[in-house]
Amino acid sequence: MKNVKTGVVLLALLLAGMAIAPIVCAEEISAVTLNANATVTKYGGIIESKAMGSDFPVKNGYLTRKEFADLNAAYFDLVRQRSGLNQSALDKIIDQEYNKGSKSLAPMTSSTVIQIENKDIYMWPWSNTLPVTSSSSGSVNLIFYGKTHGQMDTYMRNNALNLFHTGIGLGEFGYRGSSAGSMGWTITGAAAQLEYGSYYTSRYHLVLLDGLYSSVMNKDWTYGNCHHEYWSDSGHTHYLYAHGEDQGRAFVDSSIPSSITRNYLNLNNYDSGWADGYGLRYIMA
Amino acid sequence: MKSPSRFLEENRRTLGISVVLLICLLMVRFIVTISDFLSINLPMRTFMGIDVLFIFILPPVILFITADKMDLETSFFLPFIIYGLVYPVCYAFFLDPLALLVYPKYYVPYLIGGIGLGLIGLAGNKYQSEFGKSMIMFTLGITIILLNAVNIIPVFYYVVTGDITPLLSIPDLL
Repeated sequence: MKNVKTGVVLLALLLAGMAIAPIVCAEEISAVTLNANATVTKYGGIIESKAMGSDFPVKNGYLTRKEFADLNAAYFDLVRQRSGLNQSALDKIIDQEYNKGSKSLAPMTSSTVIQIENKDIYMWPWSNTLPVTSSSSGSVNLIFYGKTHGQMDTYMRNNALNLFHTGIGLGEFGYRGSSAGSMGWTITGAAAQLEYGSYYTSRYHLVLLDGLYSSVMNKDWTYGNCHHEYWSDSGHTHYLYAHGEDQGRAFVDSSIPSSITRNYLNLNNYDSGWADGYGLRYIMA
Repeated sequence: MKSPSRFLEENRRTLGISVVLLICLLMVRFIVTISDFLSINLPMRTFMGIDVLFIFILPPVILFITADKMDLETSFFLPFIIYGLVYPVCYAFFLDPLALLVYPKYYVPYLIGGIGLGLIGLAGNKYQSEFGKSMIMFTLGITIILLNAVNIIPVFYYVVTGDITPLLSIPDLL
């Protein structure tokens, strides 16, 4: 009988918690409901991209530590401000990130490279915290025509329907080129780290990667990944929500006015439970 | 049918421990919510320190001290239910309840951690009568908690020493 009473008390606590928590919750982010079957046909079908093998030469050379630190200076400065780290601790982060990159900036061994819509746009459809294709940290799910990385960053901060702001995130590498023979690595700088929400709660984390100029379209293009993740107090790190990559893409989609043309592209980067393998391509200009 | 006041009186101790444990676990969320509201940037070391204190240090201490006056079953199931079910449900309401509450994988680490905390409750209950068994259960409970949240080791090291290096091994921290 006493155990039943204990159960009733615990249930009452549970209900009380459910009522109180939303009242004191300062960070409310509306959930994006996802119906993968519905979304992939939402804009009139999928444009197939061409997937191919990738024994292409890597043209990029190694960065010196100074080049690496300079390239990411604004980002590391942001990390220092947000985390309260001193310069010596920050130097350790820079060393560690630089060493990871310089050790592994090697030719690709096996992966998939996508040619987008038969244009001079080629990419490995994942991002990674290391310049290697043997692992990945996110599926590319956004491509923007008509804007450079910087222009797209400014757009998402100032003109999008849901305004993003600067967020903390480790540098992410992308691998792209104008042709199959001219693929090269790119790394995000500080401007690429955008978030909607906050680091210690829940956020849509948008990682923009430098694209290139397309002579076929006579336009710049850029690309990236958006995912939905939350901070776990007991896990001490971020975890993706279920279908977090698709939720991120849907959130960006809801942030860009419907007057802008968009289509789904099959990017061949399906990741079970996280990404459905499709990206949205926007014609921004 | 007992009156609510009688019921509360009879279960005052259980209710008190439950409330204290739950508030302790949710303290980090309250602090983050308040600091967000006041636009205060919490330094990472401070945040991690608060996290370690309220999520990993205080709950086992509270349980170990208070469990000796509980029933044997309550000493296990109270922390198990609070940490394994009530806490993640409340935590989800601070983030995105619609997405988290229906996601079974979300509960798994909490249920495992709940078992660890439950064993610590049992250890506290048995401490006076069977010291050996109590120590075995305590060790087992702590081991489960550590294995379930392995990032606590680099985080604890960072909080104590200020050395950021071990944190960089945690996936998706930054």
